[in-house]
Amino acid sequence: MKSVIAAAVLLILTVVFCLSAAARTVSEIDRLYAMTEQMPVIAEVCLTDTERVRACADRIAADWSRSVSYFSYVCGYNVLNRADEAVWNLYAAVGAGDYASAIQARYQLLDALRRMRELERISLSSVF
Amino acid sequence: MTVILVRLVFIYILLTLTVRFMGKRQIGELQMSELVVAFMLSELAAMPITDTGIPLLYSILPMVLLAVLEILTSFAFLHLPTLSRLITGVPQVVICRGKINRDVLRSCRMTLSELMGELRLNNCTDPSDVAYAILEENGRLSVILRDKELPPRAGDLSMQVKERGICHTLIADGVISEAGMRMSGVTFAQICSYLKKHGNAAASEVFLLTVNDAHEWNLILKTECGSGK
Repeated sequence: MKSVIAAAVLLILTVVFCLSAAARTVSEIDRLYAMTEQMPVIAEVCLTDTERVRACADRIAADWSRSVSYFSYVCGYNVLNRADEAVWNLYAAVGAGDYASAIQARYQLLDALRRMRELERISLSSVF
Repeated sequence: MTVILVRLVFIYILLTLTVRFMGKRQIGELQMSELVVAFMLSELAAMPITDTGIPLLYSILPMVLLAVLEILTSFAFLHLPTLSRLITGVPQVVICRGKINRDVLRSCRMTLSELMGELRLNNCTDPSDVAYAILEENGRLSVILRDKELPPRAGDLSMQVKERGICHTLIADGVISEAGMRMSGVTFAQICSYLKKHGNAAASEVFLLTVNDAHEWNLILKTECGSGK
């Protein structure tokens, strides 16, 4: 009977842990997604507002650096590496003034974050 | 490289604790679901050791959940016999009083040569010598021979035989076993008294000391086994 009670408690703890980890992961991804969406999508706009673009890229890189250690516990490394690469490509491209590459990296990052969010949600596409 | 070694140690400890948590049923594989769980556990455990691209949590959580589900399922089976019958099936009598039941063989998809092989593994070569052969829920075939095929027992020969029971270990490799003392009802003073009578050996010098239910003691010293320590 003790093992049954322990099993029931473990089950509840595991479910609670998974749900709370998923909720936290999704909220962090949503925050990063919102930040990334704020970046302009047209190179000419980036050229006229370089300060804002640079600040945006800095914020994304800083937030990502903070979140990536948590993501490494709960997300698959394939999609995590994709997002990581996109973040640093974006940061490097903005720093070098290559806004075309920055915009490309922006889309890659949005796609990777979308995939990460999809994998955290329980849906047919994520399960299968 | 070091990460792989650390993961290995972690998974090893976790796997040992998980199997311990599931209990002796899992080791004995009493049901087919336990065999399935054993396969899945080994696969889940091996995955993150060699593939550092997988987070360790992707292995830990499924392993824990698997153990939990197995325990809850076996608990449900205990209280819901209908569910147990549905999932694990019932034992089926393949041979009844020497006669092979073809319908049961067919339903179990067991061939005659497989049946004969199982009988031979149970030291029987003739199905007519079998009282009952039962295909158990765990897939093993139990063979119960007819009484006339069994070796005679002391009761059959009307012999008076002392009940020896089992041997309880009192000292193993110099360490006194409290469980053995409890099972046999032997006290520490009795052990000391026995050792004093037989060469005045200390407990640390004893390789094995046992006593059976008929209070017959058996002492093996370490010096007799080649170790003088």
